[in-house]
Amino acid sequence: MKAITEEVAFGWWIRGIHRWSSHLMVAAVILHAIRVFFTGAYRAPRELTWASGALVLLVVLGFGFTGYSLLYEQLSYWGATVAGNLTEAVPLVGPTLARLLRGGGGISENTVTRFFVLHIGILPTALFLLLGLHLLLVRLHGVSEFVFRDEAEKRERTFPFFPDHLLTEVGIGVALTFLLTCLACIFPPGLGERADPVHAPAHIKPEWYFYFTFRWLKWTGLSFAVLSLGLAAFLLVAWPWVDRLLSRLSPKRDLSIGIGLVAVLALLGLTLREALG
Amino acid sequence: MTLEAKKIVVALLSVLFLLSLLVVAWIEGGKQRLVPQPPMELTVESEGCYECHKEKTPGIAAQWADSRHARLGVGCYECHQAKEGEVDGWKHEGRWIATVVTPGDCGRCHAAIQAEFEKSHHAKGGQILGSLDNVLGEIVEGPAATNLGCRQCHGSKIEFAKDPSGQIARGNEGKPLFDTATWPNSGIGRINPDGTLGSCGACHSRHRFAVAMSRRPESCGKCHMGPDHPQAEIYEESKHGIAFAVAVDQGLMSLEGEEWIVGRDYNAAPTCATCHMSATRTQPSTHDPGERISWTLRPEVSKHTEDWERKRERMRDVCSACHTPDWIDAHYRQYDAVVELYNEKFAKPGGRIMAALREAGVLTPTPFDEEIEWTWYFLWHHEGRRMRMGASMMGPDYTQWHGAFEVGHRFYEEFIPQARGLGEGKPQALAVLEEVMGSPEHAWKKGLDPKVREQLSDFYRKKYGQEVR
Amino acid sequence: MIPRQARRSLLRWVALGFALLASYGTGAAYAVRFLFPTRRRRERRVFACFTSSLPPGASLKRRAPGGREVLLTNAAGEIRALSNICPHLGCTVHWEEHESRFFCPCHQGVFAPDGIAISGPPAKAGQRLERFPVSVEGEAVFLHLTEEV
Repeated sequence: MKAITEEVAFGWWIRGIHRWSSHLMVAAVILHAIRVFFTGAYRAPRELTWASGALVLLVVLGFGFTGYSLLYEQLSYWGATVAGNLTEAVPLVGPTLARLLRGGGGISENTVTRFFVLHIGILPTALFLLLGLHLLLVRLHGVSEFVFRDEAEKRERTFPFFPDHLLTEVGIGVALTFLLTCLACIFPPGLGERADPVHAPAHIKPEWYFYFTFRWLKWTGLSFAVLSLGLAAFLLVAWPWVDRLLSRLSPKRDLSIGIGLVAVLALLGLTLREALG
Repeated sequence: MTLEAKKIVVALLSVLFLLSLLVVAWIEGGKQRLVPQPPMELTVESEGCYECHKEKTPGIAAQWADSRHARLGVGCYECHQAKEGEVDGWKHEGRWIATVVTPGDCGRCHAAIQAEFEKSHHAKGGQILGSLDNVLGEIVEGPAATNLGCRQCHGSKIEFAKDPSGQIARGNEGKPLFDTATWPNSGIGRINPDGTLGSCGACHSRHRFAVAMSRRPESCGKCHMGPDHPQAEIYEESKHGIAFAVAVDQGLMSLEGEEWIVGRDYNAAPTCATCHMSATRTQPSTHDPGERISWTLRPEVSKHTEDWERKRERMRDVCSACHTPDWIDAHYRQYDAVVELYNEKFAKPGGRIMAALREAGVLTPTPFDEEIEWTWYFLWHHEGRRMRMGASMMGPDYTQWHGAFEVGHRFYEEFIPQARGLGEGKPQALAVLEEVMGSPEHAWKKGLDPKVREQLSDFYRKKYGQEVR
Repeated sequence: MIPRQARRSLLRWVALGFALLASYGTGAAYAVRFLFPTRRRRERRVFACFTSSLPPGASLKRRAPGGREVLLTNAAGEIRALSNICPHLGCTVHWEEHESRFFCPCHQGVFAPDGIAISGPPAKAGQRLERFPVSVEGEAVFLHLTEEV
């Protein structure tokens, strides 16, 4: 890692782009999910699209976590330690799962190889399959659009893939690579102190997209945090069906919007709380 | 957006991207890659030493492992080896070695440096047996103080303990036992068992030999400090020393590099080594600091050193990395003037009075048994040196309050009254004293000019509203 | 004659293609440099031995960083340093004192004391053992190795 950053030609640039694009990817997926949620685009017939998308979000978070831990610097080492202990706290299968994840009783060089395999083998495969499914479903059901009550009948709004759509995509691509290069130049990825299993640093922090779990963990007990986070993940994936249940219970009011608002505000609050203090 | 507009936007974006990539190339080009050199493997002999000594003496083993020697493949045995039968050698784990590594050992690789060093006063630091200071240390104070005091700077003559038959006493494996009054010792003028002079470790410290350490003023300050030659304190007080302290704090002080040329490899501040030893753009480095010194400030009366004009030229060359010729000229005029003031006003007259007293038979040949001998010693050996050295290195307080002021006080309030007392009934000695005190620079003692007195009262009245008689 | 409109459109395509090619080409070049970092050769001087431990007729072995071995010989005052890697297929040769030769056990390669192959496959290929420059400073013998970094 040190060699890539400091010795190999353009290593810092490649790493910068890799790192910054991971941040952007997480941010983009989260924003996309929020947009879809509040426009109700997950509702029939797009339940499966949502579920696959939610799984994509989890996989992307997995990417972020394993990638960060692979740095094997002080902060990420202790982040992985915390995550390992969280896994251990899962009822019944926890200890076995944690052992499997860490390749032993604690975080070590073995963990690095396992995380590496996750990061470059298992997670990409999962991501491709899920994304494939997601896109297939999108093609199948079409992109959902706002339909306002007073809007005239839908026009046929297709346009040719080449050159129009391709050019848009290329344009976005160039803009993004430009942005990433700028970020890599202005905020090059550093490398913290090497992991030291004996001394925990004074302040450990995960990547920003895990701030909320970190703060949640500080405020609640270990097993409660694990269970609640697991439940939250389950609800996220299964929301279209939960929503259907809710609308049956209260047909007049859209409870989902309210719950979503509370959830987003809660996440935002937890994240900000962690970021600021 | 129309298709045509899109094309333009995308093309512009790619140009921006290309520009950002050029920035990347620029950053990449400026990156310094420090690829560490793996250390050269040790010789078979040193390998054996190291394997065991990294357990037995982990500190020095680790210091060595961190050294340039280690990267080059120079290990324990290369420096510590001894010839069979050598006086301080013994056979340790099957190989002949010696404890003390002398300039002779270092000189096997660093021959030119050893030769420069041997010409220097540093190498002769251990030969102080005949000096006044030695009388003070050995006799007036006591040998124990000399061993841990004087000799840790000047250097001891390393001796061995003797057994009852007069042979060198030997311990385990036939290891010769040192006379502990003479070892451990890291004085710079050490007289070694192999006959060589000096101790490279005095400045370079043992085992790690970091050049950055010897270039720091603290290395010289181990000895060049204190009441009789406070060079370290003077440097600290000077603009040079201030610049150094700040440069170190701000990470601007580069002390590394083989050549370390002032004005090229570093600019933030000079250290002792910069001016007295290290390379300039036109001069090589030297291990004889005397090569650039044009006055000797050591004795009662300062004299120019031999071939002093050449030596001063060399020093001026160092100054010129930062200062203009006019500036350097002016500094040397100020400095010369202080040395001459000390010489002419205090040292030479004082010396004449001391000689006259000796001639009159009122002083015994024993040094330090009369009060005036202490007084005179303080005057030239402590205060007089402080005054001159302060001036040489631009330390204002050492030039004046710790220097000239104390010289004056010592001269007028102790030396002259004591001489007058001793000279009672010795008209020839008193005549010399009166002649000295009759000269214009001492005339103020007979009463300050009324005009000067009036100026004084005026000054205090105006500045502090104070009445001074 | 192509209509003006079409000509302009085509020209824009060309410009766009060129801009894309230039920027992504540069990026790709960087990536290739990243994937195939050019190794620079760096010479370094290391301590070998003192002249006193290598009198005429003597030889000694020194290990260089990275496991290479260097055989130093003093043939009538000329100090030579030879690699012990056989140029044939990379086996390790060793010095045979009684025969005054280097011998490679893999394919019976034989080298003279100056490193030139005299028998076996390396001799047929006209090969020799790699020779390192040597310098003597004072009593110290230094080896000049090249390293890839």
